[in-house]
Amino acid sequence: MSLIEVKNLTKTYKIIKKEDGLMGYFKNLIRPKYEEFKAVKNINFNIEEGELVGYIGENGAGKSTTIKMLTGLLTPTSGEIIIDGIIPYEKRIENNKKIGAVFGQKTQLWWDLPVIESFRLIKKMYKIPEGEYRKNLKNFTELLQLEDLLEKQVKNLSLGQKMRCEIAATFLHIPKIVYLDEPTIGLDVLVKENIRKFIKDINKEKKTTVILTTHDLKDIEDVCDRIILLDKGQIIYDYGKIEDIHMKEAELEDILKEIYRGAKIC
Amino acid sequence: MLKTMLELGKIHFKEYTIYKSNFYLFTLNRIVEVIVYIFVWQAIYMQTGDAGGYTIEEMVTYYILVVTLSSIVLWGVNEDMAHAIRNGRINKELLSPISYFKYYFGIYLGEIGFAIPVSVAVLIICSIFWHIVLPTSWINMLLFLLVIVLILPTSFFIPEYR
Ligand SMILES: Nc1ncnc2c1ncn2[C@@H]1O[C@H](COP(=O)(O)OP(=O)(O)OP(=O)(O)O)[C@@H](O)[C@H]1O
Ligand SMILES: [Mg+2]
Repeated sequence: MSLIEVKNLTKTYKIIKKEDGLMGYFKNLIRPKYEEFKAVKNINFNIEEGELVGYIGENGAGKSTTIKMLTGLLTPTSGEIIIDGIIPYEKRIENNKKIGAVFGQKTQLWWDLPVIESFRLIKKMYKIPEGEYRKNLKNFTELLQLEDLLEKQVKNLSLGQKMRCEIAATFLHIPKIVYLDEPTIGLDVLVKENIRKFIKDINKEKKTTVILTTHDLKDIEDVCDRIILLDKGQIIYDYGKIEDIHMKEAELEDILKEIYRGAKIC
Repeated sequence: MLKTMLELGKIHFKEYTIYKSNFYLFTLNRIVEVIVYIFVWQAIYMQTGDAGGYTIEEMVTYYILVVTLSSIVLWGVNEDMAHAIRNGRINKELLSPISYFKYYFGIYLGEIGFAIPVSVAVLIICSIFWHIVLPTSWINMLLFLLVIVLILPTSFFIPEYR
């Protein structure tokens, strides 16, 4: 059994269809018309413990939708998800204890308080033993260069500083699986590098499984050992090992461009 | 589990108190409210000399208590929830290792921890400026205190929608 098993996963969003004009507005109030939109169509994959997976695709391909289903935030329209033996949207809390997640620029840190306060709360919420908490904090502070940030109020941090703290907060309880939805969006080259190295290090040390979405191919090349490529809600490419792609003697970027344009390789 | 909720309450409370002026402003706000009520009733008593058999002191006491207690009752987590839904913070809340209900009960404890001192301050300040009529019997007093205790869970489960 794999750590993450996804079978025939589909998500259909229901959208209220807007009608023009005042009459349309009132008609909508009384009998709203729904339109359906298939964001994820019948996808399948398995992910083993310790894998670093790049989940990529164009804007609107359905990446965030998939991540939200994997974390249990959204219920699939049909299909199956089993994460470490449980169905995430049915046993949310149990699943939450084992995972960590970052959603783009949304922060889980307490805006008005010093960063360390958020870390302490995480320690209490996840019941991290004192010794382990200290060890992780020390380790992360070093790896992500947080020394000068811990006592600062979150609202006073720059985007890059905030994201480094956010990443530390996400890994603090040493989750088994971490979902990172565009963790490097809007960051400078050095911070990106810092974060990539951190993910790699933790993965090596703790065997943390990471699923990462991004539009920065450098993230993929540096961090991931597997890519899953999504296009209009369907997986069109799941190559397993990233080395195999490089063997084709083309740049990842060119290959992806080709795929994005609709041309199939393999 | 209660400990985790208390921690959540504590951190939420700290968020309020980061702005020390919050406490003074909320208190002042409530006192202004009391003053407005009292002016209105003083005007009424001046005109009619009577309102349903209550003395002006009793009426003043009533309004001081109304304002004092409403600053506890009206304090709910509904606004925080609505905010979290709109700005997407709800995703992170739903991903926390305790249930949404317990999460917000913790937050509520923080709110109450802030609201009660405000209420007490309002009551003390008002009782300096106006004469507060004491209950006529101990039974009444005890029932009143019981009601205050019951307010807390009620205002969590049935929030006042502002
Ligand atoms: N709540 C929703 N209701 C209706 N449609 C939605 C909803 N959320 C997403 N969609 C639609 O589903 C599709 C997939 O969205 P999703 O956010 O998963 O894309 P994405 O791959 O994460 O894109 P990006 O790279 O831009 O973040 C999009 O076309 C989007 O408009
Ligand atoms: Mg997205």
